[in-house]
Amino acid sequence: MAANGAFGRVLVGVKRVIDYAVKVRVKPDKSGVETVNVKHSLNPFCEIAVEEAVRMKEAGLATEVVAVCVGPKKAQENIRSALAMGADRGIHIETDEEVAPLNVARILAEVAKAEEPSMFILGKQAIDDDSNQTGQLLGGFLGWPQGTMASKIEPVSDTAVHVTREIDGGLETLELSLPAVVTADLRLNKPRFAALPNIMKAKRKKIDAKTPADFGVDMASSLQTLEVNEPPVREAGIMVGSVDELVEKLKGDGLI
Amino acid sequence: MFRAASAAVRATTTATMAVAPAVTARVSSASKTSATTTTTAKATAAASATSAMGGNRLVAGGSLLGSGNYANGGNVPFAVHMRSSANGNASFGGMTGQKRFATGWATTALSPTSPFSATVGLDDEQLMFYETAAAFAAENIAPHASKWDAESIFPKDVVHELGNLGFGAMYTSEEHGGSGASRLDAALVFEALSMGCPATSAYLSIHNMCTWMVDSFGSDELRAEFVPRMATMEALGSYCLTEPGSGSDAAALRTTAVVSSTDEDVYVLNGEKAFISGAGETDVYLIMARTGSESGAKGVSCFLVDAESDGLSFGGKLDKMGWNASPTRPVIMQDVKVHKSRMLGAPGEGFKIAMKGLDGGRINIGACSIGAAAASVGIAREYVLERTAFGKPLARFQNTEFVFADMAAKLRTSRLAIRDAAKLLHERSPLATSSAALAKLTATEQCFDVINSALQTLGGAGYVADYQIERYLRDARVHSILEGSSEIMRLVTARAIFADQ
Repeated sequence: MAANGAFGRVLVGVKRVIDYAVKVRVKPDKSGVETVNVKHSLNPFCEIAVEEAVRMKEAGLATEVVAVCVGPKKAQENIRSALAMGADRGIHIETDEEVAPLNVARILAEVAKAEEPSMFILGKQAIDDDSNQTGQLLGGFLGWPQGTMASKIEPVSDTAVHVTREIDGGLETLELSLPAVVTADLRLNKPRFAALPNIMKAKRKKIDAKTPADFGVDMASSLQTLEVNEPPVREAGIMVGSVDELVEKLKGDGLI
Repeated sequence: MFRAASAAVRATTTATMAVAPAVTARVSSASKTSATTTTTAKATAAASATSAMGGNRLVAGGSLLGSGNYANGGNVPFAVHMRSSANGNASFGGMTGQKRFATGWATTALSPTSPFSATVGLDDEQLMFYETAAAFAAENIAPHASKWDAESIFPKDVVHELGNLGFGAMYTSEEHGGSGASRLDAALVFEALSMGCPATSAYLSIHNMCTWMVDSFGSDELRAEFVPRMATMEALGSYCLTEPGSGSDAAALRTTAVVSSTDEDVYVLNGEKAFISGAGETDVYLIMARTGSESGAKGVSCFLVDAESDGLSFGGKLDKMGWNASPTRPVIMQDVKVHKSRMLGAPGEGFKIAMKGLDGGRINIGACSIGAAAASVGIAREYVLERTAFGKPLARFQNTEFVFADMAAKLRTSRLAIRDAAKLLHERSPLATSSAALAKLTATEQCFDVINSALQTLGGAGYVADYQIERYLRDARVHSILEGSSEIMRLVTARAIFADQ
């Protein structure tokens, strides 16, 4: 088992995304989705990551939880949410440019080198782009072991953790030596509601303001979005009378 | 900080498993709406579904595909609907009326561009209070509120959880465990929680009022003994002023507190209180009783009475139109002995203390009306966008547009009045009492009208429990009656208008 405070500082990556419940609309010019005057929230998987880090602190394993966010000015309110959940301080890398995994991972790698955490926990993916890349890229840039899609993180010693991952075949457990990158999946934990007193304390916690230039990163994306469209309207299905008819139809459509 | 995404995905997962017996879709070919579920309807729906299918047909894929859907052929099986909503898209076809329209109130209230917005104008911290409470309501209150109402269940476990989150003593000082937040912060919380269940939120507001009274007027020893437990909601409070013989004429109360003949440090209470929320299931009773020989307000003192006190008993639980999630009973005192250290403030100050408590209580009840109305308009808005008549969605008719515009005007006005009154109370403005009164008058009556309008826009569905609005209406009806009836609010406001003459 790990000694008290063995994990020291834990960094958590958080992202500001369109709230899941919003009916997303594609912009008329098809360049993207409408984000102006649309409700945004902390990415749900990032919340799970924050919760895990805060639990580590409460268990005495970590001594400090730092929430790191690359995003627009308004993302500050989302960092405050992380602080209200129990993170100790925040780092806000402010940019109005498109926030894409490659550049975010570059920035977070620099932050990690400066902050020297034992672990960098991120949500497995953001619900706006569903990339599922940032954690993996970060691990690559840092040369750290990574345990992605984690449904469980267990300390094994002062310098290693067991990460249980949910994969297609079932559950896989990896032993990672620290420092490591972990990305949080849905079943890792159930994030807490921020208690009122903690919400009030959050405004007194420090958020460092930075820019991508401070880390020598240019946010220009190497990917160009050509077009964004709404998904095709669902068509009614066809009722079939028997399994044989189903098989015939599937064969006829060239599906089997 | 709206946590609903993970809730939505979790909800999807569990709902898929629960769907087999529970879901029916009474869908006509014209519209895709009104997939509803009730536990009592299970049996009848299954029966009607199988009969519509001409007997006991075994559906391909087994029971996971809701059998009711096949009753209207051509409709996509339920399980596929669930998968389409799992990707976060707001296409909830097939989900129960309750779950689906529950999202309606959440998105409407949180949308920055809607005139129904609850959050525009709030600073980051206030926004967090509101969103945390709204998320809690969506996850822990809304799914159960109908059941609590139908079965008159007092949700003590949820109430305790609210206590753990610091919602039990929001505007009570931090010294003994209160949160030290502002009146406005508290009003935002009550508003948000009321979107889930106005009755539960209203009880929470009563408890907050009691805790504040103890903290503000109790002796240091009394505060140290009770406020910590009340702040966490480990000990629940009830406010006892009204009697069978005196409601609006509160100063005419007849419960007596006479110094004991055997011990001059003890008062003996005799009398009866009526319509007490929480009575019989709470722990701490703040009882206004007559200690002095003077009639009227001057002779009244306020006592903190333990639920376990000898001689304290409760009448039968009242069967009410609404507020069924909080039990309402008479409180009967027969020679209840209370030590003088349990008096809040000095003898004769009780009425003033009671009224100070109610200033905040009025704002909170108004906030509960706002939450109920906010939920109702959210549900109604989703409904009229989907329901078609005479060839188009109801929302495209000018009448519907006008009805919604009127609702928005009333709701926003109520919100502003209540939030303004909360600020004035917090600042201890000389306008605080009359502002709270006119804000309660406005919000409770206007919001009741809003809920009633919203109900009408649903047509027949508005009368059906599954669509929730009728529950909000029944709950909201009492808000213009208790904690100061609308009539008394007019008296209080008029008194301030004509004060010097």
